[in-house]
Amino acid sequence: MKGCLNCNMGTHLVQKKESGTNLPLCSRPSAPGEITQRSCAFYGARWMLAPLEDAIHVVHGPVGCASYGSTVRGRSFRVFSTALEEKDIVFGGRKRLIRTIKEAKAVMPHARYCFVYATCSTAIIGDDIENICKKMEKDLGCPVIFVNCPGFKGDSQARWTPQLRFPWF
Amino acid sequence: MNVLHCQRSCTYISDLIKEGFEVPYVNASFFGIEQTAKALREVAEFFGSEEMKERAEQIIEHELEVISPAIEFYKERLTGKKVGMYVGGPRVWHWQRVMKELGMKVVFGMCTFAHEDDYEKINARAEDGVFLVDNPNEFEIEECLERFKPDLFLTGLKEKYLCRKFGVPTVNSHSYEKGPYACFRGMVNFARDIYEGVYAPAWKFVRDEDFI
Amino acid sequence: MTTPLKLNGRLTIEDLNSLPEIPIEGITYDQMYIEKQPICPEYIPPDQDIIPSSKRTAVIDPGRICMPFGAMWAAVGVHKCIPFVQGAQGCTTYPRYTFSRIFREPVSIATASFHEDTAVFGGRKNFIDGLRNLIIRYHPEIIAIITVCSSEIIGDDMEGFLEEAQEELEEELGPEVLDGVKFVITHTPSFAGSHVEGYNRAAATFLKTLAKRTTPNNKVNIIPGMITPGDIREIKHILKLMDIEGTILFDISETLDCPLRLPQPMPYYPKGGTRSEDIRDMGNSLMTFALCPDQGGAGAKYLEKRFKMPAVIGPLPLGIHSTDLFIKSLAEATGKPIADEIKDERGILIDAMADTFHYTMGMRVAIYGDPDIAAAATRFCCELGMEPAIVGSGTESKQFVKDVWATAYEYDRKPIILNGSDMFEWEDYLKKDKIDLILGNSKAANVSKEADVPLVRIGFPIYDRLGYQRRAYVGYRGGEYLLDLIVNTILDSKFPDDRVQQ
Repeated sequence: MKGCLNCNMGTHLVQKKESGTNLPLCSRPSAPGEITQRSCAFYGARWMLAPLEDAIHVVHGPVGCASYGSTVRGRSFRVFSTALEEKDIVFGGRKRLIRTIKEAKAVMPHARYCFVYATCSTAIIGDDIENICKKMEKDLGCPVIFVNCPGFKGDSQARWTPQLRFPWF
Repeated sequence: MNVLHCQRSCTYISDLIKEGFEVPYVNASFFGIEQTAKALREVAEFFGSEEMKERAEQIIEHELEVISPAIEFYKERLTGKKVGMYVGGPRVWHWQRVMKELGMKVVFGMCTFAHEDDYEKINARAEDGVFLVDNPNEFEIEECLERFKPDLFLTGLKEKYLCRKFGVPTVNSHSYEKGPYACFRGMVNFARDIYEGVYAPAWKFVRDEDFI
Repeated sequence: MTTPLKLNGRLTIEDLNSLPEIPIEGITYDQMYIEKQPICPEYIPPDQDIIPSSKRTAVIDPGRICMPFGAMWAAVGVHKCIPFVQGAQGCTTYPRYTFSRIFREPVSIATASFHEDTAVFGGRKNFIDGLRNLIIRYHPEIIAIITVCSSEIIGDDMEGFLEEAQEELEEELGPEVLDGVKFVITHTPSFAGSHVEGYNRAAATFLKTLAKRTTPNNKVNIIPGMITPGDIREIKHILKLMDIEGTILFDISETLDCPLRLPQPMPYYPKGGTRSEDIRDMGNSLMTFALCPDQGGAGAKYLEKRFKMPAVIGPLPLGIHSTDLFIKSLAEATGKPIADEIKDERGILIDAMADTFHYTMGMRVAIYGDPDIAAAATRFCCELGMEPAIVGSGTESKQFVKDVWATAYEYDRKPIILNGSDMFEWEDYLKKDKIDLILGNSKAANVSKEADVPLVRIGFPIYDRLGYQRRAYVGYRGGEYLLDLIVNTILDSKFPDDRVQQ
C-alpha cells in the first residue's frame, strides 16, 4: 500500500506548494470503515460542560454513555444516568428521565442548574426531552437545559454544535 | 469584551454573544512569546488607555526577562528538529509560531475538526512542502510518520501509543504532559516537555542496530 | 519566601510574580497554589431513601461500561482482527480511549461513522462502504462486526447486509480477497446489558461462526474473560508446567501488551492474538474452561451443546481454593499428573500466607468490581482471614450472588452484597462502616481518598497506575503478587514505621 498518500492527494491531503493556495477538503463526515480519531457530539458537549461542577449532569440513555462521559480531560466527574433498559427503549424513557432528574436534585440540592444530554438511542426513539426539561424547571427551581448532542449529530466540534449546546442564547 | 483563545467553536459562541448582547470579541493566541505579546498589546489597544498599553509593555518586558534563560537553553537543543502535529484544529496554526520560536521545523500538520479558515491560516504560516491532512485516520498517520520521519509528534492520547510503536516520541497536546503550556511561563513547560520527548534515552535504545 | 503549611511547598501568585527567573524545569500546575472555593457552603448528606440503587431509577457513578466494549475487548484478542462498530464515531473513540488508558497500547477499531442521514435511512450503505474500505486498507483476517444501541434501534438487519456486502465486494475485489476475510457478527445493544454481557456474547458468536469439529485432539479450550494480559500469561505458564496444549480464546497477552521494536510493519498489527485457525480447531478439543462464568460462559455452553464438549464454568482461579479446583479439573480432563513445580508454587503462596496472617486476619474489606472478579476476590480475602464487609458488583449477576454466599457460608462471614449496584451506593455503605481496606478498580480511587481507606487495585479498569496490566492475579503466582500488594498496603497505612521492620 505504499504511495497511498499520493493517490489520495488533492482530497483531504495536500502538500503546500510555493504558489499554491490549495487547501485540504474539510468539514466532511469521516468515511465509514476508517479508524477515525474523531469523537462524537456527546464527547464535545461533555468536554465543554463537565467542568461546571455546580450543575447536575443527567445523561439520558443507556449506562455506557454515562460511564464514558464521566471521564473528561483526564478527571472523573459525577454523572447521573437514566440507564435505559430494553423496555424503556420500546415504551420511551420519559418516566425514567423525570424520576432521574428529581433524584439527582435530591443528591445535589445545592445544584444551580441541570444539564440533560441526549444520546443516540434517546434521539432515535424520539423522547421529547426538551419539553420534559421545560416542565421540570418548576419542580427543580433552577434552569434545566437540554443539550441536544446525540453521537450521530457529528464530530465533537462541528460547526452548528454551539447553538445546540447552548440553547439559552 | 471577550478574549477568544480557542478559535473554533468558541467563535460561533462569541458571535452569538455579540449579536445578542453586543459584547465584542478579540481573537488572541496565548501560545508562544510573540503571540502572547501580540495578544496583550491588542487587548490594551482595544481599551485604548495609555496606562494599560504601558502596563502591557511592562509585563511583556518583565516576562521575557524571566523566561529567556530557560527558553535559550531549550532552543539551543531543539533547533533543526522536525516536528509533526496532530491536534484539534486552531492549535496547529497557534503552534506553528511556537515551533518557529524554538527553531523547530514543522513537516506535517493534521487537524481533527478544522474548517477552511483554519487551513487558510495554516497554509499562510506553513513553509513549502508542508503536508496538510484533514481528519486523518490511523493509516494516514502511519504513512506520514514513515514518510517524514519526524523527531517528535504532537498528538493526543489515542494516537500517541501508535506513534511510539513506530519509534516516534510524542507530547500529549490535548491535556498536556506537565502543563500549563500557555503564555510566557507556560512556554517553558512546553519547551521542556518537547525536549524531554526528543531526548529521552529510550529512543536511542530502540534504534540499536544489533537488536533490530 | 514564607511557605505556610497549607501551601505545602507550592507557590502563590505573589511568589510566582516575584521570581527573578523561571527555572529550566519550568513551573507546573502541581507547584502552584490555586485557591479553590467549595461549590456549596457545607456537605449536605443525601436523602437516605434514595441511596439503595433498587429504590431509584438513576444510576450515579456507574460501575459498568457499555456492551459493545466487552465485544471489542474480545475481538482485540484475535490475531489480525479489526472490530467494525456499526454506530456513530463516539462508539469507537470512547472505547479506544478506554483501551489506551488501561493498556497504554494502540487499538484499531473501525467505525461505520453514523451521521444524521444514517439514523434516518439505516446503516446499509455505511456498512458496505465501511467493509470495503477496511478490507482494502487493512487486509484483516477477521472483521468482528459489532452493533451498538443506535443500529439496534434503527433495526439494521446485519445478517442481510453482510450477505449483500459479501456479494457486492466479491464482484469488486475478487473472490480470493474476500475468501481471506471472515466475518463475525455480535449483537450488542447497550441497553440490554453491560460489558460483561458483551464479552459473553462475543465468546458465543465467535465460536458459533468459526469453530468446527473435524478430528478430535487433546487440547483444552480456555475462555479467560476480561482479565489482564499478565493473567493470561500466567494461565499459559500453568498449562506449560502441566504439559497441556491449550487454546486461549481472545488472547490479549500479545495484542494489548506489545514490545516496542523497529521496524514496525504497516498497517500496525500486533504480533499475537488467537489465530482464526485455532478458533476453528476449538471444536475438536477435550474440554472447555470458562474462567469467568459471566464473561465467556456462553461460549463454553455453546460448545457443550453443539459438540457435546464438557465445560467447566468458573470459578476464576484466584487464590488457593479456586486455583486448586482449576488445576484439579485440568489434571482430570487430560489425565496428566499435577506437576511438582505447581505444587512448589502453591507452597510458596501458602508460605507467604503463613508469614503474613497477623497483618491480614480480621481486616474488614470492601470489594467492588465486575461480578466474577469481585466474587473471586471475596474468596481470596476470606482465605487470608480477612472479613469482606461490603461486596459490590457493577453488573447484575445471579452467579455472583451465589458464589459470594457460598464463600460467606464457608467462612462464616456476613457481607453486604450489592448486586448490579453503582459506586454511589457502595460508597455510602463504605463510609458508614468501619473499613480497613478497599479492593477495587481505579474508579474507587476517589472514594478511597475521601474516606481515607487504602486501596488495592484489582479488576477492570485500572488506569491511574502503571503496569497493572502486566501483572497476574490468577494462579498461585498471581495470588502471591496480590497478597504482597494487600500486605504492603496494610503496612503502609496501618502500621507505624517502627513496627514494620520486623
